[in-house]
Amino acid sequence: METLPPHVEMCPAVPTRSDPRGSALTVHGLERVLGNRPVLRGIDLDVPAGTVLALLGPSGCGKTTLLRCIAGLDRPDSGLVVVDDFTVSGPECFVNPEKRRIGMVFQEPALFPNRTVGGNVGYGLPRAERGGPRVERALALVGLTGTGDRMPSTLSGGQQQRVALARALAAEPSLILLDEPFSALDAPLRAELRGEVRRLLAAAGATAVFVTHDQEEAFLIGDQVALMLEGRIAQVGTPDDLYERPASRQVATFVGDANLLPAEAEGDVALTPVGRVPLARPAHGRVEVVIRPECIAACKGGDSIVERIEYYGHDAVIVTSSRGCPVRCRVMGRPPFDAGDRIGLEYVGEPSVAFSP
Amino acid sequence: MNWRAVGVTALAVALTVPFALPFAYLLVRNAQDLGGLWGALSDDRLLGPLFRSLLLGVSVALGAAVLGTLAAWLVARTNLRARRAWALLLCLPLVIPSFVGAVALIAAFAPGGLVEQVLGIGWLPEVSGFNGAFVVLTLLTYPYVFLLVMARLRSLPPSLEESARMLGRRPLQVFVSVVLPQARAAVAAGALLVFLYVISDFGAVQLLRYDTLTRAIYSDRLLDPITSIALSLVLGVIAVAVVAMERRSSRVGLRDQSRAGTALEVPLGAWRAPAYLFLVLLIGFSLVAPIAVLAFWAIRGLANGSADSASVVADPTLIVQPLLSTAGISVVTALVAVLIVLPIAYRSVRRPGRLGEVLAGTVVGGFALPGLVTALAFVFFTLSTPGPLGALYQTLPLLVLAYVVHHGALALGAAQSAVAGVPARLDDAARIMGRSRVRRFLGVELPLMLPGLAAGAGLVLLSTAKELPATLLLAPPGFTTLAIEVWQAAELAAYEEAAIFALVLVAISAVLTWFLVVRPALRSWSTPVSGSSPSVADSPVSSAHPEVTAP
Ligand SMILES: Nc1ncnc2c1ncn2[C@@H]1O[C@H](COP(=O)(O)OP(=O)(O)OP(=O)(O)O)[C@@H](O)[C@H]1O
Ligand SMILES: [Mg+2]
Repeated sequence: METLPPHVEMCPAVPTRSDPRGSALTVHGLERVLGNRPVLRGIDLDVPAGTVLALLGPSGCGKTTLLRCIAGLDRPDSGLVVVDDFTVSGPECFVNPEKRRIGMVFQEPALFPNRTVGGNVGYGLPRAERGGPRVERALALVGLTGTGDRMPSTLSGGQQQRVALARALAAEPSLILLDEPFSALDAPLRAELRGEVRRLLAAAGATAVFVTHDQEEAFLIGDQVALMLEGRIAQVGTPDDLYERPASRQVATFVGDANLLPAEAEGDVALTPVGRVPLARPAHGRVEVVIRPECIAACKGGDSIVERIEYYGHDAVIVTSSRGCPVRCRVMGRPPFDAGDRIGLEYVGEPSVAFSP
Repeated sequence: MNWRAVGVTALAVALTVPFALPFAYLLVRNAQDLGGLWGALSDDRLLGPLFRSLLLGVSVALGAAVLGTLAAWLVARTNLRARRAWALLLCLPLVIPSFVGAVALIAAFAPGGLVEQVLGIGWLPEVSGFNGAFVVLTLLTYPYVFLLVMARLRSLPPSLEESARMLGRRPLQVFVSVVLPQARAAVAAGALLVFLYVISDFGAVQLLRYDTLTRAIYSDRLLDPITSIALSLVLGVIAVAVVAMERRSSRVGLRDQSRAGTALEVPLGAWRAPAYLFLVLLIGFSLVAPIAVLAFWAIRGLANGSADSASVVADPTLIVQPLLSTAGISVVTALVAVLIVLPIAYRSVRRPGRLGEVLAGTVVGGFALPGLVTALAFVFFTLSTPGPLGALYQTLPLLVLAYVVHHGALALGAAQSAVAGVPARLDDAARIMGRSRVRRFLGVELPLMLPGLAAGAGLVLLSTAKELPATLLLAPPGFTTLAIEVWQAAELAAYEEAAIFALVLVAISAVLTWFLVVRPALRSWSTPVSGSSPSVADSPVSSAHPEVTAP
């Protein structure tokens, strides 16, 4: 019989030994009503130890609420939160946030203005270690060696956010939650930090939930991506799964650019306005097929007329229509067509997915 | 050369002169008689009262800081019920002027008072002296700390405390290590305001017979004017220094624009009952008890009547005259104050710079000087000046002038916000459309400023209605306000009369305070926006609260 870690003492119920697969975080059936509105409507999640889950979703879908329920900053109305095999939030038990050993990084750095950078990073450590090597190590991890004696206000916004990350990592939490940590920064800095945080989390071997409403960010940082729509998890999977094999039409349209073309399915092919498209899952009858714009090739001469060209520099989108359906087709560089030209379209991608309309 | 701008500047400078007058007069008078000043400063005519003023000021400031901070934390951060209602109740002692509080305390423990008659306690403790003054002033001034700390807690980003919790600290540790350091500037600002209030207070210490500087200045003014003037200068210097300190400290600490939101609630658990008890006792002693005592005396007086037909107890219509006088003089003062400070506000906001700061600072200096000292300076100034100025002594114009000098800063703060609230671009737009300068001001800017100016006038009105020492020294013979009536009745131990006038005064002050102070503050608390509550933050002593000078 194992002794319980100290953080569970507050829990009135006996902690449930949950599944033995080594999940660092399991959320089951989580529901939360805020001001008469169901904000979380039965969330199920499972984050294996040492991996990063990117939680992606539009503004207002409940990402922050979910994170706060996991952290213990908010109390769910029903459902379970299990961290490191111990139930921290359930029907008869609620462990206070300070006992959960979960690290959290907010949208703003939230550094304590009256403490030095080192004082901030050491805040969550036992008293004896606050000035010691653990602080230095955490600062080195985020590339801020030697800033320990400075005050937070003397650092730039990006540096402050890195200190916040170091502060959360220094305590070596079993789980770290990041709520849109870069959304207050400008685009180039964001891009730089994105890569860095991915490397950092991997180096620390941390289990993390990273909230964002930016699809690129989710794909770059997450080992798994969970798409959340209106208080429900619409799909969980690798970035590849979400993009290539969306589970629903909503997922297909939220993740990346998609043409939804009406088609006639015949088993593992569908007849669409851009020709025959192979299907990953067999279907029959009238369907809508998800076709990514980059999976369509355009050539001179055909029965589609170019409406306009959206030119982005590295690539361009040809806006056209085929048999009455608007179609977007992405090509690298500048296409050799102009508005009014006649073009032919052809499907060139991997097997796609179809939904009944 | 822009002659209009020069004109506005000249007008603003000229209008600022009266605000500097009392302090300048004290300096000159004392400089002319250095021997007298030295004599007064070097013996215990100064040291005793000075020590008592400082002792009382520091004690009350500490007491109010503890009560106000604790109350603010309970209301802003815990899971108590009906927190908005508590917040409202905790502000309300602001409506009780200090001399009314003192009257209530004395009347409660007087023979035949509430304590003896209703509670049946035969042994009556001595309430005068330090203890009485400390209790009354602490209970009436903690709202200043409460309001400032409350505003600060509302403006703190919740993620700060949430981070600390996530890093493993319990709520109490979070309060000590994160919240208190962030609220320190607000607590300090509140404590300084309370300190200023206490050392400026005249009514309570005089009634409770605790010999502070104000009491010494008042009692020496006829027989030993040299000492009185010397002590006035000492008190004035301390008060101005405190205000300067307050302005500096709050400029550093209180103004950060952070994203506010709903903060985590700390569950009180077993501490819930003691927390409610604390709030109930605090409001009970600072608000309910004084009003209950006054009501007790007032009702008993009205029921029993009086043999003296000139007493308000016998003839309640006698309340009308002082009521009208109070209303009239307060309204006139408010209007004059707004007219006088508007050019100063205009100049200091539209052309920011050294001169504007000096002008505004001078007006605030007039506010910092205790009412008693301001009034006394005007008394001596007019009495020692021959000609038309001398003839002003004990006339209504001089009384209004003294009020304006003393309370003008309240209108200035509001007027500055009002001017700043009108974008200068609007004037440019009107100019392009070919409107003349005067028509632009009257037609475009003034209507936009009017609500702000009205709020400023309201604050002056409120403070003037409660003003005691300046009225006592400068009112024409026979001119009485409600405050004077309370005062005179209390000095004669006619508690029934004092209570009736006091209740009316408190009622008026409550209505004005509700509209001018509490409602704006509550409104800003209910919307989680950045910054501190405007009504609190924009008052004259930077973050200061309006009635600070009407003890
Ligand atoms: N205290 C509250 N009372 C009522 N409704 C709330 C409360 N807090 C949040 N909500 C609502 O719950 C929904 C989800 O909020 P949440 O903050 O979790 O969204 P989010 O996904 O984090 O959005 P964003 O990307 O904008 O941060 C929103 O529609 C919000 O209006
Ligand atoms: Mg959010």
